[in-house]
Amino acid sequence: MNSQNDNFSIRNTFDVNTEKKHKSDLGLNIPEGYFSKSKQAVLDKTVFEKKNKVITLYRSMYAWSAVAVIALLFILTVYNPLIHTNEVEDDILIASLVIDDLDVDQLLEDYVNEELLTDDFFSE
Amino acid sequence: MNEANFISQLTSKKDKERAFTKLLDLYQERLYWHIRKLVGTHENADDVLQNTFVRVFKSLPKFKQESSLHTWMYKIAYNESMRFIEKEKRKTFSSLEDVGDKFLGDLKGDVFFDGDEAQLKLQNVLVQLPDKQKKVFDMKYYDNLKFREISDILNIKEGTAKTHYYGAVKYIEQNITTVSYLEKIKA
Repeated sequence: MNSQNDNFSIRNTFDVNTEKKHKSDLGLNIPEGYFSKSKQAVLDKTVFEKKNKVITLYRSMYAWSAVAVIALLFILTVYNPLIHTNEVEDDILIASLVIDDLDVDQLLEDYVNEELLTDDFFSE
Repeated sequence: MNEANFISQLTSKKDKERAFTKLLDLYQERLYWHIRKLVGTHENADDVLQNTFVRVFKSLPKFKQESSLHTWMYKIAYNESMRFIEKEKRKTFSSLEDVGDKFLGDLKGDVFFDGDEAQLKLQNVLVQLPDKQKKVFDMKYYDNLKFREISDILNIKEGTAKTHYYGAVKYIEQNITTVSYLEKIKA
């Protein structure tokens, strides 16, 4: 690593000059504050990913709990003739409202990321 | 801190978070500009930059240090950009000839391009360069990479990289009349 890279925290001269050159020669611009937002987005997808996954797991647990409630209500309906059909349909409807579409999307995304996009897929 | 120590921090559980943040501070901007010249618009460059760092993060434990961290990062950014361009080409069924036109069209439509006539003329000339010449010129002149690093990234010989660069400079000299720019690229 060369000496100009030793100071990580301060935006170095190289970066300042590079930006100037791209703006003045090529007319390329960036949104204000872009690099700090982008840095955070990258960190969220990398080093903080595991922390996010814990939240996802809890969200998934809610989703699966709701699915279990629906399944239980369904079984009770089939095997319990005392309950009127309309009441059970209402219960299923109410229970289905508990499931967030985002949870289902998240479950699918996690599956794709963890099972299909393996290290082999990413290896250079 | 030497590079080997830094790499071991990047792969250690304890120091990973701090070291990767440093890596971002160090490389985010330069890789962004490297990518932006390849993919054209800010929106595309943003996507590719994010993918590049995710790929770097996942591949770090497998990094064999056969090249410097610097060259390795640029290589990943370059490969991600090429993957993105290939995907775009398939999406729009573009031929090789259309790619340059599409690049300029997208650039003109980008809200983060505000080039004047001279800047647009330069972009036009750069797009007309043969693909390898343009890439070598961009990497040498704008990204300040060494010929050895460029040859490593593009998988070509160092001598070939030099030939491409001087070929590009000659073409630009013949097609650009902005004296200050010509002085800069010949310096």
